[in-house]
Amino acid sequence: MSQTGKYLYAVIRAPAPESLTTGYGLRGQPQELIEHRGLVAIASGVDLEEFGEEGLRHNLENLPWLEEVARVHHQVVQFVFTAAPAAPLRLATICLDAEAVRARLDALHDQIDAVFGRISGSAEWGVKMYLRIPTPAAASVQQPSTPPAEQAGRTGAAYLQRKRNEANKRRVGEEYAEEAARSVHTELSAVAVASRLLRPQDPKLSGHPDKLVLNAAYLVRSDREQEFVTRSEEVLAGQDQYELVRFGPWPPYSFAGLDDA
Amino acid sequence: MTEPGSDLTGTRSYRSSMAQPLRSSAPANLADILERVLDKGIVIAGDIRVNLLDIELLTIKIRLLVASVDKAQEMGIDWWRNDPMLSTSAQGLAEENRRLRERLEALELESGNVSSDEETEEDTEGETEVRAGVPDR
Repeated sequence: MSQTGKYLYAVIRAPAPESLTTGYGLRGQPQELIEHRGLVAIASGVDLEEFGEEGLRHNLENLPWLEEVARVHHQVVQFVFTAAPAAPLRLATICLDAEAVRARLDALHDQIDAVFGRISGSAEWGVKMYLRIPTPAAASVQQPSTPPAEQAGRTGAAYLQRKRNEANKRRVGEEYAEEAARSVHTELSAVAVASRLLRPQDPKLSGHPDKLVLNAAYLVRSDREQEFVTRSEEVLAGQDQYELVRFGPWPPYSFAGLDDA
Repeated sequence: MTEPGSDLTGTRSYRSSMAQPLRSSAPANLADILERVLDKGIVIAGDIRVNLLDIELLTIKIRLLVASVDKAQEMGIDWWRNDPMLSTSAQGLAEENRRLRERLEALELESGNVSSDEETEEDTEGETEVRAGVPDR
């Protein structure tokens, strides 16, 4: 009795490779290929009890649910991407039936086609650069917390001075880091078709203690991947205060926006 | 934590492609995945419409994983100040700030010196992950 809809993962250009007829999507449902005017949407059926407006509003609040759906979404997109240039869709893009999917492909045909002009033959590489912070917190934790008003004399002055020194040192380090991050970004962009600076991930929530000084995505042609990887490994050689984390090749999420042209 | 294989029978082909990203260094991290699947890619209005921005609580926490705190403040989101799980470091900073001000005032009174304390607050606007948690006043 519950209705089903079509959850969309990605769009590719027709013809779809044979291998894509065998995959599975969310909740173990088989992937479906919905073709229209030279574009193919990769979809799978979902229960609208779970993925309807009501269900989604509720479920998106549920972290384990969201994580699982996001991971499966990503896996399907990855799977499609290994078989053909793929333009990923945003999480939870759901149409009521195949006809509605075709209508979307029809209306957005030219824009989607333009996306393929940009991303074909390329993959996204993510790069994050951290400045290892010599835990400024540690210094203040060691100090037994002194009641503020009473000892405001010499101790207070020394305390204040030390705090200032620490802050200054940190600031200088961060200024250098910004510069270093800019040059890393320039270096890597030179090997890429396109690049995007992403928002910094908040350390409070991501749990990574070091300061993120660069969060970027690069669209790299497959024939330059090796060069990109090598460069990313060499660009910070000998600078131990930084850590560079790279991942890829990924589907070009950051470069598939319809109005990114 | 999730076992994608468990409800994705017969997915060997892409499981293996996931398992060995070419020469890649880091496994797919949830924040990186969410950053992309929630925010990037082709955005088409489907028939089922849920404005991701309307989703509160957990999703906003997730959005904060990928958005910096100052961005969230721009969006008018500041619940973490009252969220004991998340606000400890912000509270810590605010508290430290307050203590420093008190000491400074005391010092100034004592020495009759009217130095300004502004320099503790300004600079690096875009770089606010840590300091953005401090209420500016």
